Amino acid sequence: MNTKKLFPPGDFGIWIIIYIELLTFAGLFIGYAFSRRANLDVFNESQLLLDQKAGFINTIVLITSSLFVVYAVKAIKENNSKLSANWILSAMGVGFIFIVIKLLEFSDKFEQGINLSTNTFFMFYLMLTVFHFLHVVLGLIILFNIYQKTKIGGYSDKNYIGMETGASYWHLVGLLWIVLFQVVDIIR
Amino acid sequence: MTLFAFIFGWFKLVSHTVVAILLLTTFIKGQLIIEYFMGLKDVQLKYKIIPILWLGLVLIFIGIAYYL
Repeated sequence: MNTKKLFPPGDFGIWIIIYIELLTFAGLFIGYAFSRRANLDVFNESQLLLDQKAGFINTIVLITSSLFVVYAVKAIKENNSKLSANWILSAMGVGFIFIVIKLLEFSDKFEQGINLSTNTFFMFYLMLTVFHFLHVVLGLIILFNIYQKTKIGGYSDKNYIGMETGASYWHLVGLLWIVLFQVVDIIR
Repeated sequence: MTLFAFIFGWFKLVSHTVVAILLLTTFIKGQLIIEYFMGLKDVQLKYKIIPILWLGLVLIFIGIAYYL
């Protein structure tokens, strides 16, 4: 007996967006990899200026935040709005740590005079990380809206598609970061 | 897996073999997120295959660019 679900979780429209975002970042990741090939010394030297500790912490932060969102969806499926709201709030709190760390990193780079024109590595680094950062900001706004609605009982075990939709977007953000961290911060 | 990646990077232990391992572990981590966090484990293959193919192809291309 085939028990596969017909559609992915949440509204199908978000999956169109997710697939498009995956394509966009694929272009950036592959562009980075081949540009690295053509500018090996510049990439290796510039990569030394990155803060790998921050990248590592951010990876843990985003995965943990994603996990909390998984728990939130599980809680709402069990009709526990209060627990679900608490998990969303926790996910937002942890996600905000990413924002703070990333802003500190950007500030540090800009203070060093690093910008899009510095070299090809930093052009890709800033494009990738700023673009991803904006997705994280949007994701947090979505989570905030989900939190507000959950708190007032807007979601239940009969109605949680909106939460799944937002959750799916948030997990995309984590998935992209996992690749970004490895490719930009670690591989040299 | 993330901790090992960080350690390899921090101590500059990245070699050709290590890069292959890092790309593989990235695929495994990404797969886990796709299946368990995004909830695609029990969904029809046509929806699950897109992000998995994305992950695999991106990492393969990165590997090709690295090893060329």
